[in-house]
Amino acid sequence: MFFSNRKKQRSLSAYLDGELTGTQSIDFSEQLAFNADLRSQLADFAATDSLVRNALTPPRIPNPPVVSTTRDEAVRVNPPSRRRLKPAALAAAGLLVTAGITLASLRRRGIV
Amino acid sequence: MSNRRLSLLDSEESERIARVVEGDLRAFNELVDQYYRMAYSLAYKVLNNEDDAREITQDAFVRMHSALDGFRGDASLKTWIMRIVMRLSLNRRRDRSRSSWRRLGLHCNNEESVQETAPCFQTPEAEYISRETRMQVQQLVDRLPDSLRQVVILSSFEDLSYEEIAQILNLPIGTVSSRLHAARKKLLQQFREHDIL
Repeated sequence: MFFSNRKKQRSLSAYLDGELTGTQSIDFSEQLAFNADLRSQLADFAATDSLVRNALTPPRIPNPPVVSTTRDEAVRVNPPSRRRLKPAALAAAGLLVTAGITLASLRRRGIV
Repeated sequence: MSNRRLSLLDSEESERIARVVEGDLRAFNELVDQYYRMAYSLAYKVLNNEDDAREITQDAFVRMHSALDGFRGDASLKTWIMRIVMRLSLNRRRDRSRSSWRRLGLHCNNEESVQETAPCFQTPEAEYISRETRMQVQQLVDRLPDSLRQVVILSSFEDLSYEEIAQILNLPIGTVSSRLHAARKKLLQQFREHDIL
């Protein structure tokens, strides 16, 4: 089978990626056997791929996170909020203290 | 889910998806276990940053969990997850390139800024080439036009066919093939110019 130059080029990538059909692959292998330039180009592409693959591969891969399967193990997304007294509670406490002091003062003077 | 909708999935996978949709967290963990490495690798390859890749991968699985009910099964689960990760990673990359820190060149290099926060799997490929070559190649891939870079990144997964790459990027197979060939030629030329090959 005759491959045009352009088709040869495209087939080179497809051959390298194992994307040619059985017959196409056999035909292209024959072309390769008789064409040193094509073989050299194939080797260059393979080397390029290898470099890219190695350079892009992450140096480390973290272990997958585990989503907890029971209620007790549930992952807490937000940290527990600190208990804070609401302003109304603080005002009520202040009023009680003031009333207590006033009552004690009035008792001391014998008014109550 | 109908059989037709899950025609591209094997029975084990479709059963697992059904369990996840019903709220079975164990089934969801199995899915995460199965696809986490692949998803993380893709995010890392697009973003070249471990923290971003970890965050995007987790985000992708959260989205996958909430969208699984509507998964039509007209692509494999693998390509569907890869498509989600790719989209999120490209969005992050775009946002990052807009950041004023990056425009001023004040961003950190990922390799120096990484701190181990969790037990990791050390990939043997990472030891294969020198750190300098690795960075040069990463930079040259990074400088490719988006359309070529995306195809190069996906083709670096050995188990992805042209058809799967086409599904992930929503492109015709012929376009994947021609872009990949163009990218190889361009990279080869650049590797030679930089004495890498």
